Amino acid sequence: MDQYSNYIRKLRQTALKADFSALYQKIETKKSKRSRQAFSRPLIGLAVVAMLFIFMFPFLPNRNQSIVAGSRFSTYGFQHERSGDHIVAEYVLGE
Amino acid sequence: MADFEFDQVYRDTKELVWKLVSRYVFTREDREDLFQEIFLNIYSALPKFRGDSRVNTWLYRIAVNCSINYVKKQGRIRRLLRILEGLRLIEESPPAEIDEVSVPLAKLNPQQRMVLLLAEVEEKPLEEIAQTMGIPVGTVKSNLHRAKEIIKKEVRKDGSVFQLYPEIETNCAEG
Repeated sequence: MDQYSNYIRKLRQTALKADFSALYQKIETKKSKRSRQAFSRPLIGLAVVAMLFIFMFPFLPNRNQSIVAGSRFSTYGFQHERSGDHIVAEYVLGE
Repeated sequence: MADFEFDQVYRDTKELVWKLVSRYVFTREDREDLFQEIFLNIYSALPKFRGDSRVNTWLYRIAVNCSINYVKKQGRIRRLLRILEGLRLIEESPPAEIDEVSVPLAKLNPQQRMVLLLAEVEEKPLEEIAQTMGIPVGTVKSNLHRAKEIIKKEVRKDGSVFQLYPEIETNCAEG
């Protein structure tokens, strides 16, 4: 018998033991987790909220309105006055 | 799907699946993870099983595909970890200890390893292997040939396998 056949024979004889009842319990736990709604997973929930936030912007009535800083015109009101009818960006560019 | 159906399938096939898994991957963690993954896939697929083929054939198909995908995925994760270790973003982890009998098998790619196990260890006909793996018989033959060549080379190399299995050396001397 050659070395290869010996190796295959050894491989066939190798039988590793397993704790099938413990494995079954783990499968049962994972089964219940897998059947949960996708939205109940925190990362998916966060991703959905972030996507909604991004897609909401084109539909905002006043696009100069910042949720964080409030109205841009009220923040830079003094510049707006000095520049007459020009908006802030035009005033800065010297137009 | 009623759980008793899954329980029945689990009871009937757990040893068959474990045999395949325990030879296909090499650490206890991988074996247990893959075993669970296979049965979770069986659980998901069981309502769709129409009974066109034998349960064992259907189950083998799931187990084989799941095993190959698992090893490919693990390979990708290991490559990523090696890159991160190289960049010193994570600490180097000690190499996984594998069973001595699995050392030559670890040199095969996922498909070659599966073909070799099904053909040589499980002694399945080539046509059935091709059907189970969803590849042509010619591909099965070429994979098997290549796998045999690699294993033969590995068991000859420096007599390392003989150091691992002294009883094989004894058998060879008798042969």
